[in-house]
Amino acid sequence: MKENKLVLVVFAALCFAGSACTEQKKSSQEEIEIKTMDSTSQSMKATADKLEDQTKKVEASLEKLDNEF
Amino acid sequence: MKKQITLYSGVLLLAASVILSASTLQEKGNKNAKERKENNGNTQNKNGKPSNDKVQRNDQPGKNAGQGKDKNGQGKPDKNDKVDKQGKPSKDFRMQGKHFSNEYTMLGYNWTRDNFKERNSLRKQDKVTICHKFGNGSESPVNIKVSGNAAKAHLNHGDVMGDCPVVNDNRYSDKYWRNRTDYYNNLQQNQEQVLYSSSILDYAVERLAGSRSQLAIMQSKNMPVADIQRKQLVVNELEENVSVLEQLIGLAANVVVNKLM
Repeated sequence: MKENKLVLVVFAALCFAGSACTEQKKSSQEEIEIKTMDSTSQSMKATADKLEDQTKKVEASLEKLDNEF
Repeated sequence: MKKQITLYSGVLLLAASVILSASTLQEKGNKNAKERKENNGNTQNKNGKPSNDKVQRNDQPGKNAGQGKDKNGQGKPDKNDKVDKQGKPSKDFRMQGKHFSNEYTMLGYNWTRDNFKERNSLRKQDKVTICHKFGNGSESPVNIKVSGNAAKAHLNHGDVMGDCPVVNDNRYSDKYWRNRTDYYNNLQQNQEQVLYSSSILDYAVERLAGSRSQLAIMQSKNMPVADIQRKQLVVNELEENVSVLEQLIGLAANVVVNKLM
């Protein structure tokens, strides 16, 4: 009887460890995804800002061209 | 019997600890690899499209990745990369921008000398919220704010006006869902900027070609040299700005292409 109890306790401990491990893995995976999205967002924003500035320069040059031609 | 049970328990515990350490090591490895990739520069095409189950991390650089970078890889366009003599952007850009060409025409960005002057009013900056659906159907839809010009194109792809229906998905935290929404909104803004800039680029290229022809005619008609020089300077300035814009569009297109499909 005592031996059966021991087996049950060990089994329960293993289940608990397995479940904790899965949870940890899931949370870590989520953190990675959040970081990826943040870094890509920042990169996109920087690129879009540069693009907007340069587009304005081209627009200004086009306006000058309109005056000359 | 007792000895056997103790032995089995020991073996089980050992197996469990091996599994745990292997899992932790793998996790660390993934994290480090991810950080390394992030440090490799932001202009690389990461295809970091988040999904419900997993971010698809295809870290192979896109076939156009790195185009337009300078020698230091800073994303600064190289001055030698200019438009050709006819003022047409390079073939590579044309290939890259193919995805956008029909869309910006659809968005109404088809500039002429007349409507270019009213571009600020034609480019509707007011935003509407739509529920964006992904083509593969397996990914949760996302609320994004789009400009009036872009809304029609989205609705044609099956998106609907207004917020997406609320779905309780406990697989990810609230923070994850917020970041995901921000991510797709940034992507949308970037895409709209690329489309608008591409339309301006095409118009500028067209104007450059016309201006060069006019200059040639003026030279043949012996117009005052000072006038010709002044006009030539304006053309040169536009040419330089167009060249830089072309490179920047290439970089931005690499980041946004196909991510909102």
